[in-house]
Amino acid sequence: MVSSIVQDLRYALRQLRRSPGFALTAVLTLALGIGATTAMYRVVQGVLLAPLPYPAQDRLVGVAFTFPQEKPNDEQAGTSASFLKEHSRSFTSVGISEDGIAGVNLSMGGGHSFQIGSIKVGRSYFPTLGLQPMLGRNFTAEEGLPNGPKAVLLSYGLWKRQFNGDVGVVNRVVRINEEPYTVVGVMPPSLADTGQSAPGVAATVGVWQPLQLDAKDPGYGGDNYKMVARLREGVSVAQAQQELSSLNKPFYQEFPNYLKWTGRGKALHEFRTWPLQQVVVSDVRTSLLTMLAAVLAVLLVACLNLAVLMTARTWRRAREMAVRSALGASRANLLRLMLCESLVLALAGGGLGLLLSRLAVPLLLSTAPIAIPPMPENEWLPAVFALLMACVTTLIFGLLPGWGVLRRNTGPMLQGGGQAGVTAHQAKMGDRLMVLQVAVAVVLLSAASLLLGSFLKLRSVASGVQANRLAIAQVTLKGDAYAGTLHTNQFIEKVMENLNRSPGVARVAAVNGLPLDRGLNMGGGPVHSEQPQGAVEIRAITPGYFRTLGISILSGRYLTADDNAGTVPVAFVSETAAQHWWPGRSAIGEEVWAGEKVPRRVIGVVADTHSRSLAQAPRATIYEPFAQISDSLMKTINGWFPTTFAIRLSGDMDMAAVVQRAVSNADPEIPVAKLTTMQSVIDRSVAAPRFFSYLAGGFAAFALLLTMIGLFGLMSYQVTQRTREIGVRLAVGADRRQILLLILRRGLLLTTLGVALGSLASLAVPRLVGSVLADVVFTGGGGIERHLSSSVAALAWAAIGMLVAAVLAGYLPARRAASVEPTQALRTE
Amino acid sequence: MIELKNLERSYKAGHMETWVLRRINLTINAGEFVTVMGPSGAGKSSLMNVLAMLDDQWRGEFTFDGAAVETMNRKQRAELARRRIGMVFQSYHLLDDLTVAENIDLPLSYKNISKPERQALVADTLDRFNIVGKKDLYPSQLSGGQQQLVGIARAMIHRPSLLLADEPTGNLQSAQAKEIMEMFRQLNEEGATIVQVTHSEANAQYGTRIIELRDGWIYADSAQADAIGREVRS
Ligand SMILES: Nc1ncnc2c1ncn2[C@@H]1O[C@H](COP(=O)(O)OP(=O)(O)O)[C@@H](O)[C@H]1O
Ligand SMILES: [Mg+2]
Repeated sequence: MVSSIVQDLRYALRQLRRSPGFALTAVLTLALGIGATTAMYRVVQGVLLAPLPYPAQDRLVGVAFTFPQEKPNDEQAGTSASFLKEHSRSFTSVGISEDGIAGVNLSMGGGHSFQIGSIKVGRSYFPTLGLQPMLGRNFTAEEGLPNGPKAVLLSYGLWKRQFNGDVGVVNRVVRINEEPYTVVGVMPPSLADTGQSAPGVAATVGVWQPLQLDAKDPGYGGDNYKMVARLREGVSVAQAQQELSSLNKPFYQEFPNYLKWTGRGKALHEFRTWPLQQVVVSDVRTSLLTMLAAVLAVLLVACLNLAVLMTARTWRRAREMAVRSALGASRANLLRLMLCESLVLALAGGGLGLLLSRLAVPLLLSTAPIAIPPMPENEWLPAVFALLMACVTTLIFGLLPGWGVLRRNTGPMLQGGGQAGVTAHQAKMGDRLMVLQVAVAVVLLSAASLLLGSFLKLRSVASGVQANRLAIAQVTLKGDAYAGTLHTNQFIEKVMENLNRSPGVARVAAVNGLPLDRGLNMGGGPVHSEQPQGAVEIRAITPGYFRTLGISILSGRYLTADDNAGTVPVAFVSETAAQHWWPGRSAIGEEVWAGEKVPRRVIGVVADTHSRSLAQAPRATIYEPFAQISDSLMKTINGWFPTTFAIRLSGDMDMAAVVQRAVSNADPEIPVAKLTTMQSVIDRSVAAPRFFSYLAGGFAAFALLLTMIGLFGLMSYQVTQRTREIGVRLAVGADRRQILLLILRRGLLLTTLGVALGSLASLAVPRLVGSVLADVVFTGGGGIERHLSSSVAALAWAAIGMLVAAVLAGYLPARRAASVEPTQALRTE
Repeated sequence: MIELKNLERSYKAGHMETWVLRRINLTINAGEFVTVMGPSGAGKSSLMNVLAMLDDQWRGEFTFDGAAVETMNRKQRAELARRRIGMVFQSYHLLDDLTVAENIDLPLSYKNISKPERQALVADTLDRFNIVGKKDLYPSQLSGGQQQLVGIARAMIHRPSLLLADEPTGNLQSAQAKEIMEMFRQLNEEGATIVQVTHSEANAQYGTRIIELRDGWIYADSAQADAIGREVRS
């Protein structure tokens, strides 16, 4: 038994050596297919399936105050978090953190400063996760208080990189945002130090700072926090949810102003809880699963392609099989012989694929503009997976073509000579496999085409800014030094002065809250209006901001240096705001509330820009001069958002050096946190849809190529099989063009059937693509649907692409058919 | 109707050139029923392919009804053959996936003929060859003789003036062969010029003239008074 299998294997190897083109195509397509699938499996396994690296992690939950239809999250307002901390009974421990990583300026021992990520966490945050510092200690209660001692915990990565892993780092003093902080400890490497600085934007944590929820904090009322909790012994997630749901009513009784937080369909926020693992991965879950589905579809195309080629091969070998069977080989023997060949190919492809997947994962993680959580490395699970894929593919592409041979009555083949190779059943099998392959490829093509169309549609949305030759430099102005207006303004003016003096700079302006970046939004709006106050975007600007960015002033006057702390507070409003608040009349001279105690007089209306994403409808925005902002508002915006210098260039220059000099000349302890161009800010805002459309495009192109190979192979074999028939047709009067069309038509018929089948399956594509895009494109509450390009057009492109490919793939075999010599074809030996 | 002058045909295999037809001079008049005989490999099929205009690799002169075939291009030859010539094969060469009626219809499908006209022609032909009852059967459901009858019907459907038959009864038993030969005689009487290849002396008797090929040469022609040393092998 074993020896005969070895014999079969050896025979299979010899057979494959005889057709190296086929063997190479097969191994390479399998390697790519299994490689891509295994790579995605590695990520899915590591991210979605692996447990979190915390003790008793299955008792950890994320607790949210959120809309009922939201996917797993742990967002909280300060109010709701404090309320839960006080009233919930399901948890042994509750940890609060800020909801995003913020940039801070770190300098050590008088050296130059640089920006790192920081996140504030409550004292019970690490104990809730079951983690302790590997060096030093957790924060004390005093350290969380507003005027308590300033302390930080270092991330393992920062400690290794910047402190050379020095164990004496505890109790050392570092400067953060120009203030002294004591290092109280170093967190262990198991604690994830990656997170998001904004939805979808990955960032790394360098330090943790203490957080003490305080109703006086500016962000306390908004959903700027996150909550993790450890379930009490014997309490299930469902029971905890039950208890949380019972707390909704008392919460709204105590804080009725949250009744205003309504979403679509007047839904209210509710207390919700999910296992923490689900919360951590919920942002990438759809994307990852969809990518896995996409690579599986590619692998399926590869398999079907091989099945088609194998079918054609078995036709050629039909005679050999007939001889073997006449010599007493059982059907099982024959099947084993055929499977051997497939298995050899699949194992070779699978092994190569496993190697490829090891290379592909880092590539994927580094190029994917989505925040994939860190994942543990695991070697044997992917290996098992790749082996499994190899076996499954063998079954598909080895067994399906083999099936025909088993079912065939082999008798006539021996007598019938060369022609009788193909039974109708076998021919049908090849056709069916081809149709299926085309169908799967069409689904991939239409998904790719829809993604690409949607990406192009999104990219074509006008940003509202003239991006060419506009450089962007950002600084973080945090800490006590920049907690007031005067110092902030002095800094901004000095930097602008320095920049203005540089040759090559045409115009400079500063803003807190650059378009397509983050900025402050809070309650505000017209002073005299029947409409309730809603949320508005608030932007601090310097004179010349609109001109520098190329935002047109639709009515009113320019902002000047005379609009300062001593004069009437003024504001610009965006077109959307003006139309919404004062429909049908001029906004000039109206008054608005903009986050401060005194109202502002509107002196101009400006064109809309997109505040966070091209997919978000322009929002009501109020612009106010830096010089007129109150100390408390300045402290808030400086604490949350970077200040941006927008530099309109007129010539070539060394931007980095110029900006660096201008900034450190104004304050040597402020690093340039980011130096880029407006165009790349815009590009980055569509990086995720671009990534997915290119990825899907790559998959689809690969599937299309495979389908062409399959069609070419199938048509070539069919032409060989039909040589006599073609000879007959030529002999009774067909001309060569008609033969060419006959063969092309046949390829087109199969393709059309596949396209029809694929079109049916593609009905599900828009929803799938929508759910992926919804995860990576910020729409600000609007649905993703209106950002999708036409799904009919996408399908049409896919169909056209496939039909053109079919003509191309079928042309050579058809040409060969048309050049058949009837005298040869009709010769009877 | 047909005039061949110094017609030659050879196959090149590597450096070797093998001659299969040598300086053929042959005139066939309309209404003749010619039998080509000769040992296997003598060039009979090659000659038939030339006459059928399936082959165009020959040299020499070939006049068909006064038109010089050697000056025609591939398309013109095909067009001429499509109108004027029908061919019958030893192994019938029916298409397995088509019914009897569809097989017969095949030559018409490559001509500019309207659908109803085609249907009428097919019905006529089925009737004429007495195979109306078989029209929806597939070739595999017919006996060899019946299949060859369909083959002849297919060759005759467009009423060609020249019918070429390369060993039409080679695969048939003598009773069936006789039927086929009767059919040829009838077609010949109705005006068709027929050239057949056969090994059978009995079949040759149906014809009006016998040409014998050997090694590509015309060895004997019964129309020539000095035909000598005729010897028939089968
Ligand atoms: N396509 C071809 N290539 C090379 N030689 C051929 C080819 N067709 C026929 N021949 C040779 O030409 C000679 C005549 O063949 P053919 O006309 O078929 O003879 P016949 O029909 O009299 O038996 C034979 O020797 C045959 O081997
Ligand atoms: Mg012959």
